[in-house]
This record gives sequence, structure tokens and C-alpha cells, in this order.
Amino acid sequence: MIQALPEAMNLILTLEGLLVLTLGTMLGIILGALPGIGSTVAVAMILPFTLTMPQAPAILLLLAIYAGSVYGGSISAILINTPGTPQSAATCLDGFPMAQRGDAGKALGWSTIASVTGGLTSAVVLIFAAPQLAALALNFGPIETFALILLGLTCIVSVSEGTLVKGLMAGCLGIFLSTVGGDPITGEARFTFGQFQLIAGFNLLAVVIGVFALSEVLTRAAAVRDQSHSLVAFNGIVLPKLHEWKGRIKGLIKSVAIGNGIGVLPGTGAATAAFISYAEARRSSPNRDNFGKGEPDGLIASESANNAVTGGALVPTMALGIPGDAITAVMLATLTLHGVTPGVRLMTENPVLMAAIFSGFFVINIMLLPLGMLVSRMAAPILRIKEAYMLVMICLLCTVGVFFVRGNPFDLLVMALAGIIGFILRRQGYPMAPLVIGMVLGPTLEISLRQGLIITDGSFTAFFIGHPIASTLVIAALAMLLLPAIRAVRQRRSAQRESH
Amino acid sequence: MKHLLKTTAAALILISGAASADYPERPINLVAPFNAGGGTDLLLRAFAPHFAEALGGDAYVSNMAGGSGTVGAGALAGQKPDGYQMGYWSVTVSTIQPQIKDVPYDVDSWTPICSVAASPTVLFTNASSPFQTIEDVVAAVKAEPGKYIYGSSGPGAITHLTTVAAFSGLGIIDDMKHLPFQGSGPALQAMAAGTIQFFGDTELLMTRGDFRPLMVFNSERLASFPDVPTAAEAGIAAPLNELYLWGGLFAPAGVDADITQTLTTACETAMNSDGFQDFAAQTSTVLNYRNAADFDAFFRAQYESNAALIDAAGL
Amino acid sequence: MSRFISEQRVLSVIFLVLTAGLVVSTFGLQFADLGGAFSPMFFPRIILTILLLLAVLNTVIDFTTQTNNKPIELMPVVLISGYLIVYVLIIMPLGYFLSSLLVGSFILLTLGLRNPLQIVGIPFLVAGGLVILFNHTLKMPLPTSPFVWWL
Repeated sequence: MIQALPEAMNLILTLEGLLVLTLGTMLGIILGALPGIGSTVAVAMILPFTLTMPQAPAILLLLAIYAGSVYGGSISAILINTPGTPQSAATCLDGFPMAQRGDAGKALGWSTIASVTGGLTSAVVLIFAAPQLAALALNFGPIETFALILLGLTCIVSVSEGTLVKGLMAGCLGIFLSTVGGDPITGEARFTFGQFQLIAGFNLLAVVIGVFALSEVLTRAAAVRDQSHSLVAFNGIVLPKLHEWKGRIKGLIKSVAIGNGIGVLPGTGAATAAFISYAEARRSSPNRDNFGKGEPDGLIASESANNAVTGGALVPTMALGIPGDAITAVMLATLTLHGVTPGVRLMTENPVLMAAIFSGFFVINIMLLPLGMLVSRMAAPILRIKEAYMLVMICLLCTVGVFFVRGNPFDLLVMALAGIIGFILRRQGYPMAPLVIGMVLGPTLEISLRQGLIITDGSFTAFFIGHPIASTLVIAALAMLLLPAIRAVRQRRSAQRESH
Repeated sequence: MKHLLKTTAAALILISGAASADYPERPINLVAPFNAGGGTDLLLRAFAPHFAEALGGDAYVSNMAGGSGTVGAGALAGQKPDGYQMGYWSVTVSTIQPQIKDVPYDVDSWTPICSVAASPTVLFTNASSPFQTIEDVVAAVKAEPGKYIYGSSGPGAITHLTTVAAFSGLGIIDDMKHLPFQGSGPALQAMAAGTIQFFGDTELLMTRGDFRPLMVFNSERLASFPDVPTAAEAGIAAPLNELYLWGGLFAPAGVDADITQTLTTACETAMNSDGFQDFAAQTSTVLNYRNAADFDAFFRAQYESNAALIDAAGL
Repeated sequence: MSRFISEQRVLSVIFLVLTAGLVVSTFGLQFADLGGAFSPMFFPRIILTILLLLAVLNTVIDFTTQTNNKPIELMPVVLISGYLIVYVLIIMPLGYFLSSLLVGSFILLTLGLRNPLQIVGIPFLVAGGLVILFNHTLKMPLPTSPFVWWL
């Protein structure tokens, strides 16, 4: 890999190579920043163009769109509380409160630096340790995956502080929604009540866009009479000053590590990483009491983790030929189309191409910073238009985004209903982030649990005998679960003492 | 307004009446029942420009994914058979899913246009596993019933049917466990990790990893693996001995014979084009053209014979 | 009376009843009885039972604590919710452009805009731009109208 780097640089540092990287990243950021349009749709839009391009530029363009759109999603999440993808949902939790209080530029500054750090580190990891990490990922069988997902679910507790019962309900509802449709083991239809359309299940993106973006539209329509003022005060990114980083570096490093680690594992992905990292930061950050009210640490945690996943997800894709998510699957298919067989021999047979892809990925992440600032500056005047216009644009864009996720008109109905129900639930204090966590983790939780039970012939206790990784993860999950509870009880006691 | 609507409607009827004469006069929609970037989608995207050229018109690919391809097929079934809408259905979408799920289409919902691809499936194991031949597998499974696990990319998928055809045909399926995954990727990872021992897919997928083929579900041995026996040689009786991942173009039932003829000819021209042949060579896609009549007969025969597989799989 | 019935309490009861109904439905459905982890209802039943317990707890909490209804501009919310439902239902038959134009205009009207040029112009520009981009530039069409194939 390292020996092939100089030759790979010749491939990238050409006019064509740099043009593809710059334009691709820019386009990715813009597409990601549009409310309702996520990475999946962005990649689908660009895919036809890559079919006629040569190998390296085609893959680099897809990578640029992918990394750019993951970052771009944070812009709309922070500024108008409408994440285009589940992976930016955790960014809303602290990003939007910051924007509301007038610090939109600062919020974007934190998220940009965090994204770039996450992306760059994962690129370095990719270049130097992809085969080793891929081998490590093979230790994760169904039982380990089940334990990891349990750990992931504990973030429901930390994102619903104050409304714990309602948060847990939303989480369970999310998991339940993910079980509607074809059973992953037997293929039978569940909870379809005779409706053929429900066989395909509820689409995650349709629900996410409904409960965040459309319910935000309704919330704004319900709150204000005067719709003529602009949406949010924003004049471009304000980068955080050096002294403001004091006490936050440790959290950043931890989040990047979480993002890289989870990205490598199969069947998890950026949203899981963002939420787990957010929950961990909320547990351990010195500023944990401000979480949910616009705390930069929360932004750093989710944004550095979800961008670190982009590199991590490429590890099994490139080292084993096994895609980690829908987008890396597209990249593998594109490689095939260009006559390269993805798989275990990919790196040894095409060292230069792989080195070009990995170092291109590094360059893309460097460019996120200036291009992100440029796009935000361009977006600033758009955000100054009347709120009513913005609400209409959100509705029209969300429809486009959801329609192209899988071309199914039924998903549009799901989106509209999710928006209305999400609005009602949000109004009564049911947090929506747990619902998304439940829907993201639900399918993996179910299939890994049932696979594990099939392997162990139905013995749940056998999950923890001879599976040290799984046992450790479950203990960690219990700790995550109990710590805030103990803390809450202690706080309530002291509060009661004061009031008496 | 009402008048305008009437005029437009009349104009539309006129247009569709004259359709077969100057068909096609607007873009043709090719439905891929899976997400953009998947194998089916890319094949169709490579096919579309050559198909459009052969027709002298325009063609685009749209994706409609979900429910193992049944959402796309279900949406196209019952649409106007005007020749402007077609889908690329695989063996599972067209013959397996309608027999195991309650979907709004069946064997009579389609006008088959042409078959495009048909790759034989291969049963394989990890290269580091102790099984050198299929006889080793049978002996090992019989020695320790309930120990060995075969994987699939999901219930009813071609990967599932391949393993079912193999182990049901060999009479050892009840001594093994089935572990479905969500897609071939996680399943192959589990195979590399040793969680599952057997998997079945096309040759292309098998070459991605360090895997050892055990038998092929083809009428004859594959040129690339001359030492690997066919399923029939391994003692598997018909209809379980041959299994192909095939796919082709289907239009809703009731397309005019003229238009069907135009389409099937264009399909043949497109398949013989240099561009599509290059695509097939690069992606190891085995092309297999059948005209509308042959494809119709083949499709109906497959629909019948796959019922045996579905039964063996317990779906 | 009105102090006893609050939005929150009504919602928690609805949640409870729906969950209970779903739990019951997992026992009524007919599936091949393979037992344990093979049963399609194995996992949903666990989740729904947890959800039911939480819903009971939630109802108790909501009925023992008093919260006031938050102020709300009901009319625009109900109207826009209605438009959204209508919107997604007419997209396929009418096509993306026409339905977006229609629904976009109604939303602007409901939000208090009165200048007809703005009410029609904004949705026209946004929807028109998207149709040109997707249907004609990228060749990945949004739903089209029954009148002409290019819109």
C-alpha cells in the first residue's frame, strides 16, 4: 500500500483528478445540505455519470459525493433542524439549539472541524491498517453484533434525560416499526394487515424525514403568526478559537475512535456510530449538563464519529470485498463494472488503484474545510428568505428525497403520516431521536439475536460463554444504563432536600 | 378547463392508437426492482443506451426497490401494456416471490419480452475448510447432524435456493441449520469468519473471496472450474440439479404483438452490441438471449419447476 | 373536566390502547409454528411487551402530573397536515409538478401570504426547477402528469 503511494499520487494530482475531487466534494456538500436529500440519493444521482468515466475518477467521484454529503447533512441539521439522513439526527440535538440561540456560525464551525478531523483520521487508518482491521472485524459474529447493538441502544437513555419513559417508548416504537414487513429469517409478512405495500416495511429515511423535517414544518406553522421574518441568523462559518478547545480534545479523540471502530464492523453504520459516540460524550464530558441545550461537545461527538465512519466503512469494502452499507455496495459494483474484481485480492492485485482511492479520500477530507465554508457562505442568503418560502421548499424537497430513496410512492405516504404523528408526539414531550435510534438498530438487533439463538440452539445463556467480546460489551451496556439512573436519583434526592 | 381535459384525453387516445406505427415516440421506462448501484441496476443501466439505440428512441432506468423486488414488480403489474414500461425481473422476483408471498402479480401478469442473462449457481465453502469434495460434506454432516450451518442472503433468495437444492438433493438438509443474513455481504463475511460453512451464489460472487467450489448447478462443468462436478454428477436428481440466476425484460400482460416483436428484436440487437458485450465480459455476466415466445415458454416452465424448490426450502 | 382531560393524557391513553391491540394481534396471527427464535412473532412480541409496560407506566405518570396544554395555532397545522396527505396521494396521478404547484400555493396561502405572484411563483420556480433537473437533465424522472410525458 505505502509503496504504491507515489504512483497513486500521479493519478490524483492531475488536473482531471483534482477537478473530480473538488467538484465532487462540493456537489456532495450541497446535495447533503438540501433538507430531505441524503447520501443515498446523492450517490444515486451521480451514479449514471460515473459509468462512462475511467476507473479511478469514477470511484473518487463517488467517494467525494459520499464524504461531502455526510458532512453536508450537518448543515441543514444545525440550521433548520432537518437532517437529510439518520446519521445527522444526533447533530440536531445540540446543533439546532445552538443555532436558535444565535450561534449558528459557531455551531457549524465546531461541526466542520470535527467532521474534517474524523474524516482525515479515518483516511490515515484506512491507508495504514485496512487489512489488519478487516481481520479484526471477522471476530464479530452475530452474538458480538447483538451485544454491540445492545450497547448502542443504551444511548436512548442518554438522549431522553428528563423524559426517560417517553424516550424509551419512542425507542421501542422505532424498533417495532422496523419489524413491520418481511421476516428476516422466514420471509413471512408481519403486521402488514393485508396491505401489500407494507411487505417492504417502513423505510427508515421516509420516517426520519417525516419526524424531523416535516414535523419541524408543522411546529413552525403552529408557533408563529408572522411568517415574514427569516429562519435563522447566519452569516457563515465561525471557526472555534484555539482556547475554546480546552477540555474538548479528549472527547474528540474518543469519538473519532468510536467512529472508526464501528465503521469497520458489518451491518452498523454512520448513524449508530454518531449516536453511540454522542451517548458516550454525554456520559463522560465535563460539560455533560449542557447537553441538549447547545453544547459543542455534543456536536463534536456526533460529527467526528459519523465522518470517521466513511473511512471505516471502506475497510471491509476494500479489504474483503464486503460492503458495509448501501453506499459502499455501490462503490463495489462500480469497481466490478470497470473490470476490477472486488474481494480479498483487491489490494494485492490493484495496489496503485487502491492507494489512489485511499489517498484521494484523504484529499477529499482536507477539502471539506474550505469547501464547507464556501457552501455555507453561499447558503447564508438563501436562509434569509421568508420562513414561509423555506417551509414550502422543505416540503417539496423532502418529497423528492423520499421518492428517490427507493422509488416507492407508498414511502411518501409514510413520510407525511410520520410528519403529522411526529409533530403530535414531539408536542407532548416524546423525543424523536430515540425513535430513529430504534429504527436504525432494530433490524440488526433482531437478526443478530435470532441468528445467535439459531447457532446456540436456543440457549441465550450460551451467548456469554466463550464470547469475551460480547460479555464485555454487555457489561459496558449495563454500566451506560445504570450510571445516568443513579445520577438522576441522586440529583432528585438533593433537589428534594433543597425544596423541603 | 373541462374542454381542455377532453381535448387532451382525445389526443392521448389518438396517440396510443397510432402507437404501433411510430413506436416509440416518448422515452421508455425500464424498472430496476432494486436500489441504484446494485447488480440488476447496473446491468440495466449498461443495457439501456444500446436498447434505446436499437429502438431508435429514448430509454431510462428507474429504481423501485423493496420487498425483495416485489414492490417494483407489483407496481408494474396491471399498468397499461403500451410498451413504454418494462421491468427487469430475476428468477426470484418473477417465479419465487409470487409463490411464497401475497403479491399482486403472478405467472399471467406479464408479457415476457426477452431473456438477457443466466448464470449458473455454485455451492462453495471456505478455502481453509477441510471439505475438498461434496462427498466429504455428506460424510461430515451425517457424522455430526446439526453441527453444520449453511448461509443465505435472505429467505427465498437465489442464495437460499442454491443451498436448499444442494442439501435437499443430497438428502441431508434436515441435519443442517440455515442462517439467513441481510444480503450476500454479511453472509460472505460470516463465511470468512467461520460462522457458516456453506454458501451458494453465482461464480462472480464466489471469485471475490478465498472460497472453494463444491459443485455447480449447470448442465455441464464450467470452463473455469473443470474439476468441479455438476449437481447431476454429484447425484442430485431433476429438477434440483440445475439452477440459474436468470433475468429478462417483462412488460405488463397484453402488449401488442407488433410492439413485442419490435422490443424483442431491439433487445437482441442491444445484447449483440459491442458496448454491452464488453460490459458482460467485465462483470462475468453470462448472456443468454431468448426471444419473446421462447422466453415465455421458459418462464412458465421455471415457474412450475421452482415450486419443488420452494417446497424443499419450506417457504 | 377540562382540567382532567389534557392533550397529553389523551395521547398516553391512545398509545396504551394501540400497543395493547398490537400485543394481542401477535397471538392471533397465523404463522408456521416453528417455535422460539424461528417464529416471526418471537422478537416483535418481546418489544411490544416492553412497550406495553412503558405505556402503562407513562399513563400513570401523565395522570398523576398536571401539565397545561401548550398554546397552538390550530388552523394552519390542521390545514397543512391535510395538504401534506393530499399532496402525497395526488403526486402519482397528477405528477410531481402539478401537485407541488397546487400544494405549495395552498401552504403559502395558509401561512398568511397574500401576494398572488409570490403564492404561485415560489412553488412554480422550485417545482419547475426540480423537474427540469431530475426529469430532463439527470434522466431520473419524478412522477409525471397524465397530460404530457415531459411534465
